[in-house]
Amino acid sequence: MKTPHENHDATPPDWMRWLDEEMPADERATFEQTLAGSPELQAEVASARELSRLLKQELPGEMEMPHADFFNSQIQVRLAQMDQEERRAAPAARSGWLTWLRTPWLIGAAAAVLGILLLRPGGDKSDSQLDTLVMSTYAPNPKVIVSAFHSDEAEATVLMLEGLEELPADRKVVGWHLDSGRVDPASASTAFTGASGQVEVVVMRDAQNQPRLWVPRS
Amino acid sequence: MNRFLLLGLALSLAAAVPSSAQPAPASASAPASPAIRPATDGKVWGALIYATDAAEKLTGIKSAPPQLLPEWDKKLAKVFPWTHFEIVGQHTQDVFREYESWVVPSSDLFLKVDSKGPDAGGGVHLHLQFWRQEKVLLKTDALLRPKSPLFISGPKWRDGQLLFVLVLAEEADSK
Repeated sequence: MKTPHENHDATPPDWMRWLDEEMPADERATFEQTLAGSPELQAEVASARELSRLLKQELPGEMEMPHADFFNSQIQVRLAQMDQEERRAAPAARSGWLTWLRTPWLIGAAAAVLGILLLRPGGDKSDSQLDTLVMSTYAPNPKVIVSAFHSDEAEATVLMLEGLEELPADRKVVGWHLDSGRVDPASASTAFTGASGQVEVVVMRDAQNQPRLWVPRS
Repeated sequence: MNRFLLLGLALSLAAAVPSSAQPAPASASAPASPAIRPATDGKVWGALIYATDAAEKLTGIKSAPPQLLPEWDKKLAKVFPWTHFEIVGQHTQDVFREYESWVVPSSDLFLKVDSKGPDAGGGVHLHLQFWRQEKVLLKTDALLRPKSPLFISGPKWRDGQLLFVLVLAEEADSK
């Protein structure tokens, strides 16, 4: 991806400080000279201005962000995933541009943009206070990418796992219909009974602390 | 000695060899001892679903539709790109307050559930581990709320996909 005006430390890009009027006069003059000679930088600034204009146009001066807790949690999950992906891809080369993407300013803007989408006709009508929330995700296999979102249509929260190894077609997947298990603390095991009242499966930990399923009738 | 404990010892010894999902000590009988009834923070319903576009691929398992999730197949169809859905296995499980809980509708895909306590606004905070036999596919912290299911996409299988659904029972349902 093209990343204009790379900035490899944790400070915001120059154009962002310029837009926010946080630049000293002398630096501002130098920057404006650079800006005048760089169509790429001009495009970046124009894009940021357009985003700002859209936000001002769509949002009243003051408003309560609907579903703020859900947005924030989902955005934080995604940012954590981005961070994880970035660390996996290039542990040594951390881009200032991506660092900027994690700034609180952008989290707020992203939440606002999502808010705009939901405020449009046909958007979410549910109450996030009643929705299941995903706070964090972690896939030990680096090939597995996790995304979390809420589907208003399905009235469900979804954890989408991409990159999972396919189950062999000849694998016979056997399902059970189980009721609540009974715990035996002494052996750290749980026995589950089915509709017949007989124990269908026992879950225990092995010496490596891995779960092991014992099926008495198999 | 408690038969569970004997079984535990047997399985622990067997575990020296990398496991298949279903170690079966041939001589062990089904544990019959009444174990304790621990305190709970709620009750969940978990199901393993097979989703496919090919009706002829369905396994033919006839499961009672879940009371906790009306129109479960229609809801799944709004998220996942499949037309046919079938409940392969289902499990209603207490969420133990002090012990880990397992939601095991199948030996292929199952959930470990640890309660992190009820939420003041309703629902229960959970740490979930999504297991595929001996491997953890996903660890997640979630606030599970009644009437708001959690759908987890699983691996592809037989021109379709396995899905996991978890729903928290409302207090009245869990009694």
